[in-house]
Amino acid sequence: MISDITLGQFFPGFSPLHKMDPRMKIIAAVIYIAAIFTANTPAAFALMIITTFFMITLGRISFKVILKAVKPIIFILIFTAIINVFLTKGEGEPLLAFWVIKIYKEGIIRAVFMALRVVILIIGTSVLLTYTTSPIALTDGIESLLSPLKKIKVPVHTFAMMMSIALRFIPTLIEETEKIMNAQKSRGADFSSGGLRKRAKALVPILVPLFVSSFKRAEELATAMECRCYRGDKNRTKLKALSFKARDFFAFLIFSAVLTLVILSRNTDALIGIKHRVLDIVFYKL
Amino acid sequence: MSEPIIRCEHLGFTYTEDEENTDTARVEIPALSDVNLSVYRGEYIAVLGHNGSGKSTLAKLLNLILVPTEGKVYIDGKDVTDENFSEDDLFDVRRKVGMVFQNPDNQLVATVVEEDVAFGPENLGLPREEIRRRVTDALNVVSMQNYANHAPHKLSGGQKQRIAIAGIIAMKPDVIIFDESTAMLDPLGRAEVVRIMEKLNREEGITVINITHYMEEAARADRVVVINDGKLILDGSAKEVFSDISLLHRIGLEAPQGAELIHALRKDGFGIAGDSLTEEESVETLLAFLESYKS
Amino acid sequence: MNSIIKVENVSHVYSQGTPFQLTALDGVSVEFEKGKITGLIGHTGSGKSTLVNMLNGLIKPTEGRILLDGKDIWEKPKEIASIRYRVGLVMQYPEYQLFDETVREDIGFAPRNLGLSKEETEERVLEAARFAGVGDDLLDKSPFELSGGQKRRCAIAGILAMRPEVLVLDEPAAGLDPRGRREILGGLCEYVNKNDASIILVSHSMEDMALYCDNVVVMNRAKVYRTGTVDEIFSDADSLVDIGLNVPAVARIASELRKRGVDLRGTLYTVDGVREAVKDYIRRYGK
Repeated sequence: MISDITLGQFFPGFSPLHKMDPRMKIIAAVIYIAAIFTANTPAAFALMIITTFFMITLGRISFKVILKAVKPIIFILIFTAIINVFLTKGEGEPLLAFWVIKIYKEGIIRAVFMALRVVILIIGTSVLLTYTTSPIALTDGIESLLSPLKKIKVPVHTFAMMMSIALRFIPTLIEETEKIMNAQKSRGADFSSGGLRKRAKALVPILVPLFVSSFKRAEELATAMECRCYRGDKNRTKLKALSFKARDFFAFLIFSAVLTLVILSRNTDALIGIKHRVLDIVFYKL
Repeated sequence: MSEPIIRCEHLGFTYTEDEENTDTARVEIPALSDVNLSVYRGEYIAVLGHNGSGKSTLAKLLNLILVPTEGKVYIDGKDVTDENFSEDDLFDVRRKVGMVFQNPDNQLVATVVEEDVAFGPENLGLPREEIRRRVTDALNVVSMQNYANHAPHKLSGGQKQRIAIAGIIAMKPDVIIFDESTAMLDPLGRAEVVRIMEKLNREEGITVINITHYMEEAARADRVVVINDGKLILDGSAKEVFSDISLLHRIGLEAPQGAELIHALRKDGFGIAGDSLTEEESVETLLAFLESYKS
Repeated sequence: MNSIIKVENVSHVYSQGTPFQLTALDGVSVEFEKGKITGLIGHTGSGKSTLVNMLNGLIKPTEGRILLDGKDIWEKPKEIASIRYRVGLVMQYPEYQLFDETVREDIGFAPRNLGLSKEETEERVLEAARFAGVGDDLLDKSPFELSGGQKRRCAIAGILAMRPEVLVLDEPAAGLDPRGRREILGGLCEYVNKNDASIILVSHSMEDMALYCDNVVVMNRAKVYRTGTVDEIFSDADSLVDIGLNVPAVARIASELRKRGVDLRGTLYTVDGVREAVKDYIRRYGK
């Protein structure tokens, strides 16, 4: 069932991660992403994996939910891993060679690192931002972090509101898509056979009703919001104030520490290697 | 009686649609015309009419989602068509006249129940402690206090609608208009919502206007207004309105079954005296009639 | 009983093995009579929606079989689409399924999917439009221009165009006013009579059940609670009230009169039935 997809859904709760300030979660997520992309040694990846597990436990998210979130991207992941394995050239002897294909140690390492990166990136950011942060809180966080831009007339509030409503309607639209698919299947629509052209055409009976109902929803929602005196951020207050607590500074310290450790553990040889390769290319071009 | 909270004078509304296929650029569709209606504080009114009769247009005119094309609407004594009517006045009207719509999904903004209820008070610019207090109170009124931190899309239709009602109550309105708010609910959800309507009316003193085509709901109101083809054709107590069943049939409506039964028997030539609005009344009326026939 | 659909010991569990695990159906066995209108009632969450979605193969039961005219519909899973033409399912608020440019083409969607010729499709469209009460003047309009009630009828016609042997309707009249309800349900009854089809009607409205159905199946907590003719089900009001369901208002009035010593006889759950019963009573006891 489509509605089983959990990616991008909030699970309300009271874990320490839930209670963290959304602004700090965004900052933490940025540090976390930076760390993931800086990591290039087994030790660094081990640290990142431990950090991710720590976050999952702290957010009291069940591992089944995590598995489900990763499931949809497994195919892409395997595909890119294979490409990496086959296309990366190493320096020493290939581990395996047949016909035109040569597999090097570097290729395998690269494929594993790449897959790990994507998996923990998705898990970590989902746990930090979507599973434990209500979209409204997230939006508030973004709005607050971006509020300096209001000075140069960037409609930060409007964008934030649009985003939070989009998030609010994701489960509703998933449900709706499933309903429409069932209705069209009941009229003999076939979504799973035929060539690309036929399949694309088969989507029309789903997309048209989905658009029509989304517009209707949008209109009704806008009316309902007006009825509740919504007039942008003019004169608007908030139920939940954002305020940094001790735990937020603590989280900041932990994430900064992780990033520092990852940087320190960087395989500088590889770094130099990359630098050499870049220089080679530049000289070659010259 | 004191000044009505809502007063409509010769109120009318015509939809203007751009039609692409014709040379005449505009098509005018009259939805409502010459409606005179006064709603007093504390009343519990049902507005009846078939689909497309204009009853929803009336609702939208009362809290200025639509602006009248004819006539006047006074909310709490203030003329909404007046040229001095400012934007602040507009939002004041919207606060005073709250509205609950048909589809519960399309009126919930937030992904957590309490944040949704807080949406209105936040827009009013209330201080944080006041918002918190109102959210708690509103959720108590609709008996959803245990769901404050739930995600609305996981609730049942009736529960979602109760959250929508709480979102309106939290703005402390004088009037709440229910625009077919029970139409998409199952019987249990409907009963819950109707119970809350009545509670709001009796205990909180809120004026309730229930737009519906469920006769059983209308029969519970103190006053029933019937709209047909954009015109107000009946306005009276539930008893008065449901006594003219032939008229209701002519405009595609029905009365509660007890009233229908007694009406049918009267048509068969039996002189049955008495009320038939509620089931109990129908039973008593029929009993008295059958006794008199027997002896 | 000559049954068109036989549900044999069917169970269904959603999200098996997760914290959200939910048993929607638990060992359900029930038969739907051929050529009759069978009502299906029960609370939201009683399992009736799951059952309805199983009858045309949208959901495959985790256990048990569903027999259509004696044959297991999942015997050849690849041919499940052909079952959907034979068991037409009209879902709740079916107007969201409208998508095509004109009403005519939208109603013709299923016949085209069936691979019927142009002429045959047109014939089916006209026939279905007539049963569903879609006027000829609407056929060339865009379905999105129609009023709410017209859209509903157009969507129902889209299913009737398959000429299904069994029509499964989930609250076909929800949200419509009394006149709209009568028109739609009346048209469907006519379809059943003319094509010797069978209907399974899901509704919360006991009044509609009393008026239109021959048999009733009551679901409660993932199980079949009662089955019987309308007479049998509505004359045992207490057992319905026990699970929080109701009988038509007029049935409550008749039952109260009987309790108070008025010996009414006959069909005591429709307005017309009670009206006749009262007249009959007067004939028997009147002066």
